[in-house]
Amino acid sequence: MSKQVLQPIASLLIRRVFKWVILCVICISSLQAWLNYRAIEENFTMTVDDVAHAHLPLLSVAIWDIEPQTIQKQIDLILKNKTISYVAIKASTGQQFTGGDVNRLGNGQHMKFNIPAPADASKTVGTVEFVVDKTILRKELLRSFIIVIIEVIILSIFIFMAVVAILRRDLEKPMRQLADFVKNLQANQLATKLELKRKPEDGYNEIDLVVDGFHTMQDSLQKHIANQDALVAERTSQLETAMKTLKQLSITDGLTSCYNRLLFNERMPAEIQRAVRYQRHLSLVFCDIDFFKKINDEYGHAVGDTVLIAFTQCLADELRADVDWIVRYGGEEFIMVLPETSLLAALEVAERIRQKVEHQLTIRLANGNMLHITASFGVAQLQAADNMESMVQRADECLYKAKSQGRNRVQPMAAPVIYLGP
Amino acid sequence: MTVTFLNPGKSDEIYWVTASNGMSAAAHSLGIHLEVIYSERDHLKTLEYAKQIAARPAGKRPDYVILSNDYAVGAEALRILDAANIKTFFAYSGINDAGDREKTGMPRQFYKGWLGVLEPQAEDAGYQTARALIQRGKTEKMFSSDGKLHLLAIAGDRSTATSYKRTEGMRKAVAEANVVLDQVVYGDWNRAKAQEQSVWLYQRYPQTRLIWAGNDLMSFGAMESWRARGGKPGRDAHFSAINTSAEAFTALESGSLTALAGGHFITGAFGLVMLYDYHHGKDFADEGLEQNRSMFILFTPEVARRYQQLFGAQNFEKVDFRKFSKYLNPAIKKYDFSFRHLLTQSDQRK
Repeated sequence: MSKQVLQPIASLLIRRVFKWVILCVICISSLQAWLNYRAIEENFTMTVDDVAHAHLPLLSVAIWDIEPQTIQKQIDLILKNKTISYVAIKASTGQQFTGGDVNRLGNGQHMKFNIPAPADASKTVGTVEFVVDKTILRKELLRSFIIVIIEVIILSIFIFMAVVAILRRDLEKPMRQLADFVKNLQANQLATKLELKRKPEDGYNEIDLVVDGFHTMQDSLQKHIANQDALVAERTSQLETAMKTLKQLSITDGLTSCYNRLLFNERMPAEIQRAVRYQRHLSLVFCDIDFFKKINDEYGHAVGDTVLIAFTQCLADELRADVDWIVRYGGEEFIMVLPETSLLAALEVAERIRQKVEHQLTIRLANGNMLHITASFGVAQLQAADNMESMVQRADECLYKAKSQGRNRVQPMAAPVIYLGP
Repeated sequence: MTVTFLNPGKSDEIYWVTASNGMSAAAHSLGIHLEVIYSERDHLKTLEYAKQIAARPAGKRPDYVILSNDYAVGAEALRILDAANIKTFFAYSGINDAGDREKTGMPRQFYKGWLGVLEPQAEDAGYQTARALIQRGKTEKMFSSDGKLHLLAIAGDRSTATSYKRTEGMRKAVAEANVVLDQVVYGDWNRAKAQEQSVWLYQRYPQTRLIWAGNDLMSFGAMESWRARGGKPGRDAHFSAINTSAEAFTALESGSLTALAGGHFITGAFGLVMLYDYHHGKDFADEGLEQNRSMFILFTPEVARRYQQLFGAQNFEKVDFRKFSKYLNPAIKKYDFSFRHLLTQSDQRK
């Protein structure tokens, strides 16, 4: 994960707002200043005109009555208006009265008015000249401009503060909580609910949308994970079943359900090892259905298969269910492995099976006739220095002996041998 | 008998000092103890002094206070003093304003201690000087281009009754003689202001040759500016004045001042005579509580010389004011308060 410098939206927003507010301040201030300038300028001339017309009658009387003190007082009154920097009154008889700041004469605008006589307005008793100070105008302009700027700046500060406060409270804090939550969320804690510390009265906003979306995502993720688990379990069991079937198929004979020679080769050495280690008996019974080739040839393979199935059933019935096991060694050759069984016991088992096959195993043929079969048995017990091959060979030799002695018999002969006859 | 005079003028102002001197002489001859307090032409001070007098302990209060209603403070001063049970008498200037009259009523009406009023007939002074001035203008044919005599007036102030009455007297003379009154300005009895105003007036009315003034000082101011223009007062222009100052007499003597009226300063002294009689049970009520008497005379150079001989140092001790008292002279049926009589009366004593 690349470590990036955090650039909060809040500060971006503030920068943008600040930029625009400054722009607005400049625009609005300029506009207002311009409007003020026009208004002040207009007022300026009007003010001077007003002052003149307010004082002209009084000046007229004062000059007519020759009251120099009153004239001087009028000048002082006129000068109380800050826009007028200098006043000069000239009576038509030549007398002059002045007041104000002579130094400000230079940059001033001169406005001259005739003073009418009190009784006869067509005659004049003198003139009054006002010097209007434009620096006052400029000061006034600057003053109004500064006031506007201060107003807008104060307004902007309040807007900033409001924006910052709202961003902090409604965006930054919840977002940080959200980020921290997501960062610390462990896969096994997916169910943990995201709870933001927010005041409920703020209402439902975008943050709540995000939180809700997150909840939805958490739920669906959880559902998805649960589904996956079930699927995997199902597949695994299917696989296991398949494996079991496959294994069964690989170690059993499809027709008789006996173990096949592959399994025998795999399992027999372990069986021998166990018997040796625990000093136990282990015996093998090698058996073969007599004249099986002839049955196949005479009655067909279907009957042959039925014979094979019936024969193995007969074997299985006589053996211990979970201890002994049967292997189809060849076409009609079977080996029975009998753990914990001595040669004598094995011979008894073999004899009992031989008799049962001879007397009880009959197959009903399609033509209604009954088919009787017999089998020959060679038995071998595990001896010292025996291995699987030597043991099988010895059993096979016995089987051969039984075959050669006329079939339907067990070799070696156990004493006493109960011969029940063909 | 003790009397306090609340003098409205300044303690160095010739007219009002002369008035005080005249009263002192009268007090002296009648055996009255007189106290004079100058308000220095500050009307608020008049009220302040009235309050101080009213606040005095009973033994130190005067029997009578003589007031002049200059600057229209009389009604208020009267109220203050009457409330303290001090008897009052108006000399020189009485209650003339209708608004004040409503408050004060007649003497002895609302204010029982207000005994009466003695005023010089101020119109007389204005009338006599203006008439003399116009007479002189006519004989010297100082007509303007319109063939008429023109006159400029520098009056005293706008609020004092004396000023108004003198101006009215002047207007009466002007109307009688069909003279053009170019303009009336108010010089506030002040020499410098009159001088400045006259400069304007001469420029405004270059053909006018007659200048009437409400007192002597303003006349002198107008003369000064006339001289400054290169004129000669008394020869190419004529000036009139009111008041008996030494400078006025000198100007009259030299011819620069054409007409001078005066003598009314003696009003206070005659007021003392009336109070003296009242004090001694001879009430003046039968002749009227508010008396308006002609006390002015128009001075000729000869009369002026005579006056100066008699009272040159503003000393009126030569006058025996006992002669005017009805109490002391039961034969007198009516007061005779003319200034001319004063001159002749003094002669008799010589």
